[in-house]
Amino acid sequence: MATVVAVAVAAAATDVQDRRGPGTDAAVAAPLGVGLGFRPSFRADLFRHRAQVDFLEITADHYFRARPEKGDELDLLAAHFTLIPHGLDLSLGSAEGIDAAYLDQLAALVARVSPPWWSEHLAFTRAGGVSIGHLAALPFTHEAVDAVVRNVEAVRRVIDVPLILENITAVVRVPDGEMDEAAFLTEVLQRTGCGWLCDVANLHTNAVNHGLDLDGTLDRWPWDRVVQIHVAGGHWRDGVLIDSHAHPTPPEVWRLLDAVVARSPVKGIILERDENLPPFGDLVAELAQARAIGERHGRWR
Amino acid sequence: MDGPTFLLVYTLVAIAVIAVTYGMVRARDNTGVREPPRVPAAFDPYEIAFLRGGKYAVTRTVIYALYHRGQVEIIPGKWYQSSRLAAKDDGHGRTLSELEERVLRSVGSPVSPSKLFENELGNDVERLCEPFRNSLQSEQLLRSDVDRGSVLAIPIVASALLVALSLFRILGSTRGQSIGFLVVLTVVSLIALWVLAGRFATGYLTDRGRAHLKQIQTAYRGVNMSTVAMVGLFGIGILNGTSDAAFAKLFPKGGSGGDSGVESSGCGSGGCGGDGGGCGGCGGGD
Repeated sequence: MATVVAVAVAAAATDVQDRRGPGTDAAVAAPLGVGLGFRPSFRADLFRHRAQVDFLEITADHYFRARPEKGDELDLLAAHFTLIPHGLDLSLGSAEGIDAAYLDQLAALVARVSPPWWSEHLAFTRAGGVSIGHLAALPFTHEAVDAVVRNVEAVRRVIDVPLILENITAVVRVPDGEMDEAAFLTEVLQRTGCGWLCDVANLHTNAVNHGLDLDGTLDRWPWDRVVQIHVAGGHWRDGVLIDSHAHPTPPEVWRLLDAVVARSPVKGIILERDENLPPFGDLVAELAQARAIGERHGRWR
Repeated sequence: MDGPTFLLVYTLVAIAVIAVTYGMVRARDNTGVREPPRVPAAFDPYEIAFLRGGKYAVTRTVIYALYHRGQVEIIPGKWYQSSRLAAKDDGHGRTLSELEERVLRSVGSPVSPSKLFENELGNDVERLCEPFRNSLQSEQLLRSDVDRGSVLAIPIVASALLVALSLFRILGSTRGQSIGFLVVLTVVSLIALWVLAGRFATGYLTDRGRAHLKQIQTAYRGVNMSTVAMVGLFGIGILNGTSDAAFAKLFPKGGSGGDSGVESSGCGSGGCGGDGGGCGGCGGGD
């Protein structure tokens, strides 16, 4: 009886631990260095400073059914940089499953740019067939984990390039959670075998808005699963820190980034900037700062 | 063979000739298998203009640069006279390249843009652009004159074949037989032949050159950079809607000495280097 239980426990543990297989492991990819979330408005500056930018993250949805000019832009970027597609609307947390048409477009894009991995948010954007237009936080429950696992498996049947999942910000937590965010994320990553796109700015934002002691709980996060990192600067509105990507990365996020990179086998850091675009030299300076952190911790040369 | 049957046979032969010609012409340019060069972080407006449209594009870019610096002015035309370009400043004491000096000299006396190339300017600009040509040809971005000449023979022979077949029938026809449909079919076939295959045969750029130019234009499209660089890269048409629109109007699109603005306009995407007096400026002129 004891043997049977042990075998069952071991089998369950294997199932829960690492479902690494085709299309699951970005950890073996070569380090990329530092890069930018691509925005067309700084396209020319990007080419003037190409040596300072190692890779780009592109918003996948912007290239679905793309006009010829966007297609040309994509080909141009792919010819000069490693591109990481970043999806917005796959809605991996939806209990109703994945939108097949969206997934097909995503698959076509991933096939076109041949990235070492691609990323999506650990969130839902559709419910009951209705698009809610923004990233919504999942409840931290086992049922939500099950939904994400089902959806990731469905995605893998179509896209065999490794998928990494990004933690999002949430101004309001869904009540009746069965675990905290660190435990939820750990379970999702273990059961899906996905890597983690650790948005350090989001970790900081959630910690600030929810009064969490991030420094005191650093050992509870799955740092060994980090593949890529996002950094950005937000702003305060009505006493809430908003992750708006509208300002330079603040000192608190740089400090947290240093702690995260020290613990993580990170392959690349992306600086996100969507609003209040500064002179490109300012972005390059931030990239240099991120690069230096990676170098100091031996993540790349 | 009765008339309708011959028309059918002629149509099939024409399709085959056009397809074979297209295949032969395209096969002569194998530069497309090489990745185009990387988009440069900075570029010489005159060199990129030469890539885009040869000596005509370079000349227009130089004149615009001189106009932009206040060394060339536009003299508005009267009702019987088009506007003219004239040197406002002889450049004395300024640092001008040999190319700029030569172009500035060409407008020493007021000259209509359409008459700009009636003197030796074209040949001189061609000579002064030789370093650009050598550099671009060494990168397999421009086709050599020898290559263009030999490839051009292919559609010419194909055209002769179609015409000969048509003439054979026309000369052998009896009185009262209608040849109108055959003449129309021959003309349509020749047009199709030159639109599909001829433009590649007369093209100024190689496949690699077209890909490179397109990448640079995509990289720098719609951004703030020097207007001289923008004119070099996109043509004078880029000035429409700007404070320098009057300058752009001097070079009407497709007219003599005109400017088609972007690489694919005017002559089709296949073989035109861009601005340059319609297809003569790109295919024939350079």
